[in-house]
Amino acid sequence: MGWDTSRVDMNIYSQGKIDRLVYSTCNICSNGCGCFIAVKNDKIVGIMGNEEYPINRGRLGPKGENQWWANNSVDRLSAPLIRHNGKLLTSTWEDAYSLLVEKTKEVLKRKGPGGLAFYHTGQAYLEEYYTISKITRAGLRMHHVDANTRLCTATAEWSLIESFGADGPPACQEDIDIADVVVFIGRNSNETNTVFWERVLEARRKSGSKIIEIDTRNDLSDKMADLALQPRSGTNVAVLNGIIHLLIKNNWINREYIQKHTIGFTELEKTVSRYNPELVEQITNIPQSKLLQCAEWIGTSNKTVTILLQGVYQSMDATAAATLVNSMHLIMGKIGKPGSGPFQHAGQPSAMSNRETGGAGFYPGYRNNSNPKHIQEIAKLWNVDPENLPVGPQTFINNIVQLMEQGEIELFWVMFTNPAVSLPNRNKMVDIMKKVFMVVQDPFLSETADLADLVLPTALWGEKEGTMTNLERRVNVLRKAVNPPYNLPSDFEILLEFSKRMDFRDREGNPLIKYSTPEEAFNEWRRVSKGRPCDMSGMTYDKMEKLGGIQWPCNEHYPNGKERLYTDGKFYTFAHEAESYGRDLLTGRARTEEEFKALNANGKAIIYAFDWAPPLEAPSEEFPYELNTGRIVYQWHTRTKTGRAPLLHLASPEGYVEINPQNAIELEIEMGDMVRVTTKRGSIMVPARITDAVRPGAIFIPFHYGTLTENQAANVLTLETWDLVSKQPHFKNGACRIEKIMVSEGQ
Amino acid sequence: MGSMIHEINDILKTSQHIIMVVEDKSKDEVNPLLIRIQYVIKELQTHLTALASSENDTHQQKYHWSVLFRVGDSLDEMASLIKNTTPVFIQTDVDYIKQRLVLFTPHVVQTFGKRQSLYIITPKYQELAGLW
Repeated sequence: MGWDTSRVDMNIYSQGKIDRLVYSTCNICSNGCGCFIAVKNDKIVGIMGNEEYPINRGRLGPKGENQWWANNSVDRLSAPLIRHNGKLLTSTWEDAYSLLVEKTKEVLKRKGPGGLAFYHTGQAYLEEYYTISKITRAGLRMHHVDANTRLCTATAEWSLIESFGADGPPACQEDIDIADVVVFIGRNSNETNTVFWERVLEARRKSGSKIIEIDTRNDLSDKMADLALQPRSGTNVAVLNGIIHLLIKNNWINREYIQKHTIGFTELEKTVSRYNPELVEQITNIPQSKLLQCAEWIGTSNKTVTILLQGVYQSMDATAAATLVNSMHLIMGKIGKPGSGPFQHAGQPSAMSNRETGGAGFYPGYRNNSNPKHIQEIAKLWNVDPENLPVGPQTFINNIVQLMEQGEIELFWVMFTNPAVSLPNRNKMVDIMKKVFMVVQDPFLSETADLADLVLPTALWGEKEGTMTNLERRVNVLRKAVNPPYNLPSDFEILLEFSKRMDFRDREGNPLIKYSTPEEAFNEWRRVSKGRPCDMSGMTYDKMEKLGGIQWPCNEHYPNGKERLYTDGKFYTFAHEAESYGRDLLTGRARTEEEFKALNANGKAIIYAFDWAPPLEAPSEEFPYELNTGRIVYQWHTRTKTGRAPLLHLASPEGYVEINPQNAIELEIEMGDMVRVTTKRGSIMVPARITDAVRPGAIFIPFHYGTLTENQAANVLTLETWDLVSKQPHFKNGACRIEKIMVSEGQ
Repeated sequence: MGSMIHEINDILKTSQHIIMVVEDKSKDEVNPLLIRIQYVIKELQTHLTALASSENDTHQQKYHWSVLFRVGDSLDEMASLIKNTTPVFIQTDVDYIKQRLVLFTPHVVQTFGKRQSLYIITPKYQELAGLW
């Protein structure tokens, strides 16, 4: 199955023939499209889709096609910067490394590992995450480590852990091709993952599958769906309870599967019994007929895939809602079978790699940081004393920021991400970042780097080698196409140099990090992953390139990888194998080992019941509109790369607010008028776009625009709250008001 | 354990005060956190009471301590979230409970040793107590 036809998208800007095409993977979204980097005169001059690669058969999204412009951007940093008397001044690498090591040692001596925090990314390579995991745990022994994956799809990870005992999306892209019904929840595929969306549309054209969209916005994806449900913001749990209520009521469930492979059904049945269509309509505003239609399509189809994204993951009770999707599939027995499964997936190109290697969160190989045996395993593999490895959960980013504010954390090391734009309640975050010694690794003087005390410029995609895992567990290699400009090091090389200068050793006095190339790091990681759910022991760089990426697990049983998980109905819920003992969905309180064992899941999936609760900030008289923030098709995250691509910048140069026509009339706002949007946290000024993509009473603002000089950052407005289980912020909830402050030119 | 009864009673009293404050606030505001923090407090109270009566059962004590420090983490986190959504004055009480839990940590280490304590006391409380 897969794509029947190829279409080779390319964006190459070169006079005369190029010199070579270098095998790689797109470094924008989690789809992980196969591509080649075009090189001429040792410079990246473009990109071309890989026609043979199964994920995209040559196709690329607009952001992917234009990502290479950033490599050639004239404002690439060429040397480290150190802050002197308030100003960032160019320094030598020797001075920069010396300062980094000196400051780290100083804080360690004075405050211990608790004085340090490391915050990284979902866009680096697996080998870099693995090295971070090793250095921060076995070298620095620290707990305060997190990544921007927390903002992105931490909920996907946690819902999988809660339901199945371990991370890893059960479904795969091939399931899209053969499903009868594809359900999207909180996901504007038309803009966030265009190649994937194209595949869904192609599958519908070929096989007549149905697309259901459940999303608060009436965006293009909704308009192209066969059935679109627009619930009120923060009501996903009620919608899902309503669907499950109807599945059970109409007996569109698989009782044999429930009995053999799950626990917790009775409680779910009891809870959802209250969620009849009338109640669901009251809570969500979804007409009863639409809910019935939705449940009938899902329930009577042979094969259903459900795909979620930020509309669930960044909203109220995110993990609970995401586990309800898992439960919905479990009670129908539609999991681990071709064409069926919950597709809880990552959003960034290598967020999966980060999670697999323990870059942030758990120990490498989905090992439980509260299980002494798992920690002993890692200690043995790394040849370090298990008593020196940190036990228990790592600190999530909002908590890290609190500790910075309280003066507990004094050194904040940021790698390849831009928290000055991406964190909620951003103005407060910026003020706090100014209080600590901040180290930033970034190819550009990003908004965060601009606030740093030490900036270490790095190589970009195409200038270094490594691997990334995409949304369906497919691991692929990215070959180095050119040398980085100014001889810049990669993040990997900086980490290795840091480890060497810190003199981190194993228990026999040998260097902690023994590898010196990404491929050597990957080969060590293969041994570490062996026997775990994300087993990559059977992979090599060459094999990935030959096969077009490989889906884990890949080992002696599955030498070419495995398409989908849980085909045998066995889950990682024995206490000795689980990635975590889980957290209470209502309060987020971590379970103890005894409590997890008392569930008696023992290989069965765990079904949870959960009641709907309103979002933490609802519209009021003072702030009458629902605030929603999100992504658009032409920009990626905080625009560090896409903002430097001319076509993308021209297509989408500035922030804006989407307002429903009905509200625009009430507020006498016309297209292009400058409006002020205000929440309890602050206000921004952006031009208005009048569109029915938002419901009356709701507005939408893209979050990409966050310079410190223009007042357009959506995250100035966002609520500083998060999901109690996954700790993912509520970027999709909040209340605001809108005022016209200036009319557009020409009116 | 006997010497801790006084501290345990103090925590029970303080936690009951938090419940009173949030219940009062819940009367004129719909905020799920005001309900959820009560679940956390009730867990705290249940396990403290159970701990007080499990003097000779170290296995049970280990379990209750493990839950208590995890509850302590949740309580702290929820208090932050509440602070970010609505004005409710519970921070002093929460800080007091945190301090009390911190004061219990040497006793836990003494009873169970370092290796087990690493898994009983959460990283936050290990750090607050400056245990190692």
